[in-house]
Amino acid sequence: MTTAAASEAAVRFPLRFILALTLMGLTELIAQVVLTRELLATFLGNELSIALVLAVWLVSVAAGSALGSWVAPRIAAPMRAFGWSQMLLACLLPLALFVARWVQPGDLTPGQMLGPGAMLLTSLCVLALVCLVGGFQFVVAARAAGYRGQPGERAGERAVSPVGLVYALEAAGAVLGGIAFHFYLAAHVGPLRTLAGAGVLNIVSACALLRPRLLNKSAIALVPALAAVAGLLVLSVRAEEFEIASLRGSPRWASLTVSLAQNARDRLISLDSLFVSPRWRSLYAKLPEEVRRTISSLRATPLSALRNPRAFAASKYGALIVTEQEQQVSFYQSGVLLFTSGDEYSNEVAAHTALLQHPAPRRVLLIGGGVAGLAGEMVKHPITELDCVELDPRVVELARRWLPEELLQPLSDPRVRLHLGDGRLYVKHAQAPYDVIVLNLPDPTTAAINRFYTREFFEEAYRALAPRGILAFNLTGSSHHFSGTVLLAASTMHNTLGGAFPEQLVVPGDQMFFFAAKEPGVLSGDWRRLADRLERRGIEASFVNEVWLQDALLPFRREMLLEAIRGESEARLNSDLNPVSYYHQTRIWLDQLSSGLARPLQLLSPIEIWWAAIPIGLAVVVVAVTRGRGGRLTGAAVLIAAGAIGGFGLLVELLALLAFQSACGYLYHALGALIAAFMAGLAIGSAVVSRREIGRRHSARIMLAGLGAAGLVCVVLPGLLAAVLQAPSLAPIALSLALLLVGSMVGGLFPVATTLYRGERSASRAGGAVYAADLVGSAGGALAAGVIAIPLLGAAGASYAGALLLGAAFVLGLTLLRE
Amino acid sequence: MAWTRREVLRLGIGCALGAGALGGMASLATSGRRRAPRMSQPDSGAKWVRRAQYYEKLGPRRVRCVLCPKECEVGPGERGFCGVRENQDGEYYTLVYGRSASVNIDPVEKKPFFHVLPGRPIFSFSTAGCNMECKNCQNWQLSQSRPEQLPAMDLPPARLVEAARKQGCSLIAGTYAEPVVFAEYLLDVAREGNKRGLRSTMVSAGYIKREPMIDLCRELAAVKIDLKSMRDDFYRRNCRGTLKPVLDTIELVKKQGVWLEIVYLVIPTLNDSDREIRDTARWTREHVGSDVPLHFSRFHPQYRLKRLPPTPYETLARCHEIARAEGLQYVYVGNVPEHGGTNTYCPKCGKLLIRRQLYRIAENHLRGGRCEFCGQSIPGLWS
Repeated sequence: MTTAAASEAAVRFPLRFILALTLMGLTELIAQVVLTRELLATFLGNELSIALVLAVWLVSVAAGSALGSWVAPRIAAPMRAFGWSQMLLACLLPLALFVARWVQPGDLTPGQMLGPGAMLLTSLCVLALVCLVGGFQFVVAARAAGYRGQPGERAGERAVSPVGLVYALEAAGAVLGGIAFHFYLAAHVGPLRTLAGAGVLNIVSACALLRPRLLNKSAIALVPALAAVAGLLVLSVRAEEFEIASLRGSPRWASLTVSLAQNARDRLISLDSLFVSPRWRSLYAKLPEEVRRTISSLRATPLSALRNPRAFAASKYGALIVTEQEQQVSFYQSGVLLFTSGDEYSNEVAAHTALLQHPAPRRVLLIGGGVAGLAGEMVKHPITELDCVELDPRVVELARRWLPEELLQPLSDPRVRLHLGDGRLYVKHAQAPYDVIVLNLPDPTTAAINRFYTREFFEEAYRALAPRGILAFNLTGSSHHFSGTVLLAASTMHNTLGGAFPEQLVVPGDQMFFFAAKEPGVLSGDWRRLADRLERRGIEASFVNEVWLQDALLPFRREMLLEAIRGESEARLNSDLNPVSYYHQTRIWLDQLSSGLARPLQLLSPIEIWWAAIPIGLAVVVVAVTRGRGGRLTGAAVLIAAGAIGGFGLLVELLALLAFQSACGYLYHALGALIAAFMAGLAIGSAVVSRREIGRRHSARIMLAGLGAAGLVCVVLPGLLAAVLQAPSLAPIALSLALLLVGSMVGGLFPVATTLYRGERSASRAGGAVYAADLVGSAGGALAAGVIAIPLLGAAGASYAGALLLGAAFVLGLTLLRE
Repeated sequence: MAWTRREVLRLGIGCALGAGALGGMASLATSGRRRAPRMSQPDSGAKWVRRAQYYEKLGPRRVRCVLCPKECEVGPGERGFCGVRENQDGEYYTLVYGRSASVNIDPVEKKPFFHVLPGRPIFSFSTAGCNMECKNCQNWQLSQSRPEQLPAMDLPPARLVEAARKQGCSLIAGTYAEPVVFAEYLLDVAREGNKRGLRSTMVSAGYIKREPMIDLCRELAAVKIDLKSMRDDFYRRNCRGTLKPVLDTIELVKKQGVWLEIVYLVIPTLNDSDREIRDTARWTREHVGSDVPLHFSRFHPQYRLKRLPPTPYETLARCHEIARAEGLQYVYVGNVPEHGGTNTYCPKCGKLLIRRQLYRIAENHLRGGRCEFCGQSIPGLWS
C-alpha cells in the first residue's frame, strides 16, 4: 500500500532519507503506544485518562512542530539537524520510560490514585521531551526534503509539496510500527526492550544521515552514537532485570532529585483541591503552616506503591505486574489490581450469591475471575459444567506460575473448562443454554469494559440463558448510602437491565449485586430460602452463612436502595452506541478526587446536538463582519480547517472502533488492523495528492469540498454503523474500507492545507504549522468525542455534532475563495 | 454567496442569543458554586439548623469552633472544615441537627463491637461531613459532602429513637461519616434513647476536643475509636489530622468509664510495620489497660487508595501475634479464615468463650458476663 508513495519519493529522495522518514513515523508510533501504556498503569486507565494522555501527546508534538516551524528556516544544514534529532530521540526514549515509572504514584501516599491535574503534569513530565523532539523532527525533515529536492526554491513558485511526501512516509512508518507492535512487540518484547530497539535503529539511521567518516568533522558524531548504542544494547539485553528494578523504585542517587521534583509537583497538585472546594476558607490564613509542612516533607520517600514486584510480563492488553507481600500474591494489569490470592471473602460472596439465586444450577458461565479463585467456590454447588472465559492468556499463564496450589486446584476439576478469548464474543455465539451467567469484571470505566453492561449485551445474555436462567454481576456501591453519581450509575444499570429482563433484584453493599431472571418468580430476596439452599447443597463457606445472608438481604436496606433508584431522574439507558455508563464512572472518579472537573462535567450532562451549531453562527458572524478583508483571517481559516479535519479523522476512528467492538467483540489484532487501515489511508492520500501540482485557488475549492465531504460522511456514518451492527460479518471489511477512505481524505487534505497556508511562508514552516493544527484538532477530537460527546449524545449524536462543527470550518473556509 | 444579508443577520442573532444563553448558564453554574459556602436552600434546610454548642466568639463577627482540634476560625457566611457548621452573623450553627443522610441496621459485630450485646442489631445513622479527609475513606460519599448535596432524612432525636425501636433495635450508633461533626444531634439522640431504654454508641476517629467528648461520654454506653496509626506523620499525610488528640480521646473515654474498643485498620506498606504495631499494642496496654479490645481490621482498596492490595492474611496474623505478645487480652483480627482471630477467649482459663463466623455467633459461653468454665469476669456490655 505504501509502495506507490515510496517509489515516487525514491525519484526525489535518497534511500537513507526515505528510510529515516519511515523510521520517524515508526518510532513515533511505538513510543506513543509504549509510553501511553506506562502512563495508564500509573493512572488506573479510565476513558478520560486515555483521552488526556493522547491529548498531551498530540499537543506536545504540535508544540514541537510549532517550535520547529519557527526555528527551521534558520537551520543551515537541515539533513544533519534531522540526524542529530534522531540521535537525541534514541537516548530520550528509554529515559522517558524510567521517568514514567519513577514519577509514579509519587503523590504524598504510595498507592494513591492521581487526579486530572496530577495526570496532566505527570504526562507532561514523561512525554514532553520525546514529543517536542518528535514534532521538531517532522519540520526539520520537511525542510530537509525541500532543501534536497529543490535547492534555492522560492516560496510559492511551485505547489508540489515535499511536506506532503514527508507526511506520507511518516504515516507509512506509523503503519509499520503499529503492525509490528500489535502483532509482535506487545506480546513478546517488553516495553524497555522495544524502546531500546527503536533507539538503536534511530542511531543507525542518524549515522547514515550524518555520514561520519574518519577525519571528517562529523566523525564526532560517532562517539556519542557508539556510547548510546552500547548503553541501549545493555538495556535491552538485561531488560527483565531493569524492568523489575525500575518498578521497585528509583535508585538512591535518583531519589532525591525525583522527590524534589515530585514535591514541586505535589504542591501544584494541591492547587487542584484549593480552587475546587474552598470549603475551608481559613486555610488561607494558615498558609505559613502549609509552607512549613512543605519544607518538612522535602525528603526522599519510597516511590513505588507496587512493593516487592516479583514478575513483569508484556501482554497485548496492558503490562502485567505480579507483586508479593507476606505470601499474598497480587496481579496488576495496567496499574489496576486484577485480583489477589487471599480474597476468599469476595470470591465467596460473588459465587454464592449468584448460584444460590437459582433453584438448580447445572450449566454455569463465568466471565472473569475464574483463575482468581471464583471457580473454586462455584464448584461447591452441584453444577455439571462451568465455563470460565478469560481474555488474556498471559494472565492465566502468570496465575498458573504464581498462585498457590490450592487456588489452582479447581481448574483441573473435570467440570471446569477454561476458554481464552473475549467474553462478549463468547456469549454472542454460546450454543447450549446456561442456567447462570456471572460477570466478574471491573466497573465500566472504559468503553471496552462498558461493552459488558449495555442493553445489547444483556439481550445477548438473555438469549444464552435457559428458560429459568439468571444473569448476575456487581458494581461498586454502598450498603447504607444511596445518592450522587454512584446512585446515578446504579440507576442507569437498573434501567438498562430492566429493558432486557422481566425481573431483577438489587442487593446493596460495598459491592452492589444485580441479578436478572428470564422468568418472574425465580429470584428471591428471602434469606431463609437461600440459607435453606446453602444448607441443602452442603456448602461450607468461611463467610457466607445464614447470618450473612440475612444481613445482606435485609429488606429495609433493599427497599431504601430501590426507592432511591426509582427516584433518580437523570438515569438513562446504556447501550453500545450510547455508552453513557463510562461517563458516569468518570464522574464518580472525579468526585472521589474532589476534582474541579467534576462540576463542569456534570454541567455538560444536559448537552444537546444543537450546541454544536453555535460555532457555525459565530463563523457566519466573523465572515460577515470581515467581509472584503482577507489576510490573517484566511490563514486562521486554513488552520481551523486542518484542525477540523484532524478532529474528524479521530472521531470517525473512535466510532468505528466502538461499532467494531460491539459487532465483533474485543479482537485485539483486528483493532490494530483497523488503526493501520486508517494510517495507510493517511499515507496514500497525502502521497497521491502531493504528487500533483495544484494551484492556490484550486486548492481552496478542494479544501472546501473536503470539508463538505467530511460533513457528509458524519451525516451518513450513523446509518453505516447501524447497518454494521445488523450484519456483523461485514463489519471488518466495511469498517476497514471506511477508515481507509476517511484516512485518505484526511491525508490528502494535508498537502492541500499546506499549499493554502504557504503564501509567503516557507514550505517547512507552513508544513509545521498545519501539522500542529492537525494534531491539536485530533487531540480536541479525542477529548471532546471520547469523554463527552459519544457517551452523552451517543454515536449518532456525536457524529451529527461533528458534522455541525465541520460546517463551521466550512463557513470560515469560504473566505479562501475571496482571493 | 448564496445567502442574503438578512438571512445571515438572522442566523447571527440566533447564534448570539444561543451563545448568550450558554454563557448565562455557565455563570449561573459558577455563581452557584461561589454561593455554595453560604447557606443554601434556606427554607428547606432551616429546620435542621441549631445553635452550635462548642464555639467561641472572636470579636463581633468571627467565631472559633472548639468542637474539634482543628479549631477552625470562621468568618461570617463561611463554614468550618467539616462543611456542616456555619457562621451566620457572628453566631455558629450546626446545619445537620436531625438531618440524617444515611440510616441502616447492622449487626453490632459490623461496627465492630465484640463486647457489646453479641449478635444484636444496631440502628446506625450518619449525617454528611467529616473533620478529617482520609485517603482510604469507606464512606467518602457521606464524609466529603456538604449536607445540601445529599438527600435529607428528617429524623429529629425523638423520631430517630422511635424508628430504631420499631425496627427492633435496642442499640443506636452514630457512625459512618464522623459523629464528632454532629455531636449535638448525637447527644440528644443518646439522651432521648436513655429515657426510653435504648443505648447509644459512637463509632468515631476520636478527633475531638476534651469538653464535647466529656459531654458525650455522660450519655453514651460504648465508644469505638479508629486509631489510624501511631505516627503523627501518617495522620498528617493521609487524614489531614494529628495523632495526639486521638490518643487523648481514647484515654478520656476509658477514664470516663464508658465501654471502649479500639480498631486499627492495617494498610499494607503504610502502617503495617512490626514496630508500629508493637507501639500501638504497648501504648494501649500502658494507657488504657490490657483488657481493652484491640481489633486489627483488613484494608480493601477503595476511594483514593485503589492501587494498594488488600491486607495480606499473614500481616493480620502477625499483628495479632505482636499484640498478644505485648500482653493484650482481647486482640481480634477481621475476616481471616481459619485463624480464630474473631473469637473471644477467656484470659484466665484460655477456653473459647464466643465463636464468631463473620456476624454469626456460633457459640457463646458467657453467663452474666462471666466465663462459664472458670467464672472469670469478662469486661463489656453483655446485658
